[in-house]
Amino acid sequence: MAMELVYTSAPRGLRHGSSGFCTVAMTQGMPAPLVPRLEALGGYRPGPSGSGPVARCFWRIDGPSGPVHVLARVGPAPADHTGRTNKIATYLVLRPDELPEAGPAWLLSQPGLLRDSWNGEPSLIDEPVRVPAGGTAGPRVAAAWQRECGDAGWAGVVASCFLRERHVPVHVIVREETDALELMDEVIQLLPAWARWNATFSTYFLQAVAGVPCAVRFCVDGTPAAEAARGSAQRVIDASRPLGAAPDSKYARMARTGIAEGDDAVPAASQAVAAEPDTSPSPGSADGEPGDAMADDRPIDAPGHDAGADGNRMRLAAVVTVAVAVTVVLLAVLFVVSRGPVGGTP
Amino acid sequence: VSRTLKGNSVCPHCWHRFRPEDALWIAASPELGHDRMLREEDNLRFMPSRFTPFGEAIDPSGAPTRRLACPHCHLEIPRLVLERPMVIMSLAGSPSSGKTYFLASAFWTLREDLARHFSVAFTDTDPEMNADLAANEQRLFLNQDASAAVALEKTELEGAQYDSVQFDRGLPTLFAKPHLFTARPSREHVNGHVPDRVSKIFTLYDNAGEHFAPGADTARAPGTQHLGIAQVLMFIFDPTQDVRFRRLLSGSSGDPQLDPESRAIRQDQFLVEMARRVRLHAGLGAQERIRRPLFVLLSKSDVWESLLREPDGSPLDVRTPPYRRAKPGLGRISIRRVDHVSGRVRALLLQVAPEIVMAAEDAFERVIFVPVSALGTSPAMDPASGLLKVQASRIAPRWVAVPFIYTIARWSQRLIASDLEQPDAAFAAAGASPEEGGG
Repeated sequence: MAMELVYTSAPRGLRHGSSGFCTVAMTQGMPAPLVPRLEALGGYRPGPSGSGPVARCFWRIDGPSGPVHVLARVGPAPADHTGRTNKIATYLVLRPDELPEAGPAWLLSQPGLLRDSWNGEPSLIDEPVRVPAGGTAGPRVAAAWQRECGDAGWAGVVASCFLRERHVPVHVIVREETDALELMDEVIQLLPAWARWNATFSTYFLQAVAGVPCAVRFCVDGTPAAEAARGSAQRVIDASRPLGAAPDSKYARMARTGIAEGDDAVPAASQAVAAEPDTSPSPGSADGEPGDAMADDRPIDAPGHDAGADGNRMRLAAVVTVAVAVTVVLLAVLFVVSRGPVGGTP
Repeated sequence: VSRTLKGNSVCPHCWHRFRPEDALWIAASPELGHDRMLREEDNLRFMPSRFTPFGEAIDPSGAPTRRLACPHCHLEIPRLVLERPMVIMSLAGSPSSGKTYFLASAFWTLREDLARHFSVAFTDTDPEMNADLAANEQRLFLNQDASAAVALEKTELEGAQYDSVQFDRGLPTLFAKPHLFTARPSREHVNGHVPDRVSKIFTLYDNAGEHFAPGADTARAPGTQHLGIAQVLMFIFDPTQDVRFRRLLSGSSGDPQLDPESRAIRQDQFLVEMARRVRLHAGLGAQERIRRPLFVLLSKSDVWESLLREPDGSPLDVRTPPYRRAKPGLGRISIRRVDHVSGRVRALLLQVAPEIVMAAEDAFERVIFVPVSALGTSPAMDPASGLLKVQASRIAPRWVAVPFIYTIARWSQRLIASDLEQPDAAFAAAGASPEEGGG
């Protein structure tokens, strides 16, 4: 059973004396250290049209006892009690055994999962949220990408970018009316099972928060986030403008045909244990060209793998080995010197 | 390349004092990875050991860089912060008192009036840092559709107006983005030949009113700790949120904010809390009077100006600005007039809301009461959205630039002249740069 938290502007909040933007409801038993972590994530600004879109997000945040999977919906709300603009952010904290195989985008698309309004008094919610199971996992034709970009293969470009360098965000610039959640779901279905609940995203990205990775960022055209992405050296796919054919690759072909290839061809149900990809680091696309990022099917990051951390560990091991060797040699020299010349003195 | 650096600087993000040589530099190459305290897109911060002949640091990949960062929070700081004196001004007030509207209106007016009357350029020190404020200015004053009804977004406690830093793993600390402006004499100014000697950087923050509520100043959101270091403080008192003002004005104004059904707020508690935080963060005693000047800004003056009277009962002019061009290249503000108006506003407050005067004067040595109106007109309820909006073409701010111009003139007459030569002890004490560690 998942726990929820609702944050909006109200005359009175759950915390004594709070008012304005504050938490108005949360599930009984929500760990207190999680509350400020969640509250920091709900920044919202209307899009260029002045209303909407709704942001649907999936984050993995560091909780007090390990990583926590969080789904969120942040969107506009009716004017608050002071006659000013308002928003409502609802968060769902999932237990490790509540992660459907179909992935976070599928779960977020389930109607009624996250509240879009709160009109009552501030209160603790007794009933946890029942997380629906099911959903179909595995590659399928990326029809939404086909509609949006003219080539379903671009879903494979995003999937490949994420798999090759999970720590480097991918920015996808979309039109305000685009259903980015559908696009993200099609990307996630291309990923091996181990990666689906690692693919953090926001369907309406505004600004990153330190320590809260957001791997796939859908930026609405005309927002400062989209402008910043265009002007950056980061990996950017501008789906708001005509795109040609996506570079050919395994994942692009999977997105076009809906048929799994290679390691991904194993039945979906067994993928979680079957797919253990090569863990060697890959150079990635430093110049921000998605075409380069997808020009081959080179190895991908594996679960829990951090090339930088591994490198540091290897360096540390080498330093320790050298230090031990030097210490042994010095001790030996000291021992020999302390015994004095062979034969001793009278 | 020669630059004169200050002995100490203050980070405009986290208010950490540091020496210029301790500043970190921001790697030019993203291949070096991101800074672990910041976001994934923020390049590595490093302490350089190699420089180019042009004063650029050379990052570990060999690329030259000119960008600097605070050694404590690692957020980027403009180079000018290390070179020019910085004036931190803090603005506090209850939710919905009009802080965001005031800032947008004040800075737009300063851009116009400092150029028009004083030959002083008031420009963005770092346009990226001021992007939100500039967008608000654009919406109010440069709207392409003059008939459009506009409203500014309610200030959030998280999101794009904040920079996040991960001091503790997994727990972001949110700092309100500072707004930095440079006031610099133009070539026509009488001191235009020595601009570097008289120019100053102004730093302000747009905090949400919720930040000033008792108990809202936390380690995670230390958004108001600038109060402890600010040389000048401003508190917005909104008479339309006070039931006593509403009763006085009932029938004489159709402003929807005077609706008896709308929420009233005990604003004196916010003022007392502000004083408490100033003392706390500045290391003052609990009852010690604060030597820095406080402007109490009575907002929405267009609604209640009819209550302001001269001692003889005639109306008080709080529309015409108290400043004008004195001669080519120099403008003059009438400190006497501002002080006179301050006295009349104080007298009104003593009649209607005396606890505000008492709270302000009990905590601060020097208090100046200034009537301001960010819009100069009343908003109207937009039935479609339920928001209070104002028609862009009707916006005409009043006296919003006065606290800033008054402050500059009290510190130094080299940028702005005034009709009062005697120095003001409170402003002189506050004139000490925060970099010197004055409390």
